[in-house]
Amino acid sequence: MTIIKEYVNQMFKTVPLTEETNQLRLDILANMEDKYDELIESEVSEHEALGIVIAEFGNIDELLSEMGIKKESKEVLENYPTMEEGAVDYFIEAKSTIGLRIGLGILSILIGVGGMLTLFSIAPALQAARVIGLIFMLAFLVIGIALFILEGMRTNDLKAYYSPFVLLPHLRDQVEEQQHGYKKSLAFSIVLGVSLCILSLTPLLLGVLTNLLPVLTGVGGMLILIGVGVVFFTYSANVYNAYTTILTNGKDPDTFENDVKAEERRKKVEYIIEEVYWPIIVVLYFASSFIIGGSFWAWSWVIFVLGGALEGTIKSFFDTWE
Amino acid sequence: MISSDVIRGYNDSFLLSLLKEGDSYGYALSKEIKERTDGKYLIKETTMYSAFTRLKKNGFIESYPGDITQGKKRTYYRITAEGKEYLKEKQIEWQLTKEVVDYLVGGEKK
Repeated sequence: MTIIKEYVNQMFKTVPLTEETNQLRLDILANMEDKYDELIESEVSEHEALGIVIAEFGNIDELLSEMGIKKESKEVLENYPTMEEGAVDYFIEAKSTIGLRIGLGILSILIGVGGMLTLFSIAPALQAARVIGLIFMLAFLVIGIALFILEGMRTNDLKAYYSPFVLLPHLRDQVEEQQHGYKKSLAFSIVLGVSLCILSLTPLLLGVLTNLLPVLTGVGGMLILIGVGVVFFTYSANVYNAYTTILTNGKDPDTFENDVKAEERRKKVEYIIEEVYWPIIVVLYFASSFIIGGSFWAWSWVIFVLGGALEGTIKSFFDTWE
Repeated sequence: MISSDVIRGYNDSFLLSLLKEGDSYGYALSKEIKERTDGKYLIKETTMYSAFTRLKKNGFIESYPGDITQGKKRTYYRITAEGKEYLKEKQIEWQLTKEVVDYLVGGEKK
């Protein structure tokens, strides 16, 4: 049975995914499975039954030309993957762990520094406190950096999600709904994060203004509280952005080609600006400054400001030109 | 087995005349064709769905999601009034075709 499914999926791999073609795939698959079941019941061997069913599939090109599906779009779809529900869930989950671990990495480094400062503050009483503080800081620094490297490598695996892919309309609706549902958690996390950052001033103020805490301990406490706040930010923002990423890069199969073309054009414009436009500006800057010389150096930097302003104009010019 | 080239023009009519007897879905139709022709003609999946697409485009049939049977949701097809009209024309055309082919290829002189 799985062989039939594999076969049909393989045949439909180059077919643009729309609700219509998806239903077609399911219908054909159901027919073939029924046929297979009946053949098995009539005591045909599995092997033979598979052969018959697959032979009676026919030729997918016949169907495609009848449906008016062009070859070009076939090529586009071969180059761009379709993200199904599992793939989308995987991305959201991966991004949320990345967010959490990056946050924990930052927290770890801040705990290291905060702890070190606190230990420094008791140095007058305890001789070894400085050394312990340094070791403490280094240990947490290592943990933090290790977390960054690990998550950085993981980000690489998710590259496919940052270029265009096909997202079925019904799945898009689902993701939109999920993102909408997540807004509350995002708001809650931001409020919590901001509150912690504001609260982090308390140990600092206690250290500076009162004698309850040494100043360094106050600073250390502040850093740790900020670190906890940051975890809330990075986690929730990563999850929320994951939804946004899926929704921006996931294209409707019907308008896929146009979207991809527009994106390619945008990339071309960006390339021209980066590789041609800005070097020209730099050359202009140096050339004019050297040639005119003297006091012109004092204000020739304006060229860069003008260049920046013009960049926006050029980009919007290309956009309206489409 | 018949070469599919010869019979291609008639797939649409096969499906229409079966649907005229009642709404049905893909596998049931292909099975019916196989049984009625004593296994002499098998319609391929892609051929059948090409025909469905064409018939739908011309307004000769309509599709609707059927109930779930054996865990599968199937697409059912229903013939329209235009479809019935078209089938009638095709039946007349077939009578004519049959006569013509018989005269020339049938091997019997009149």
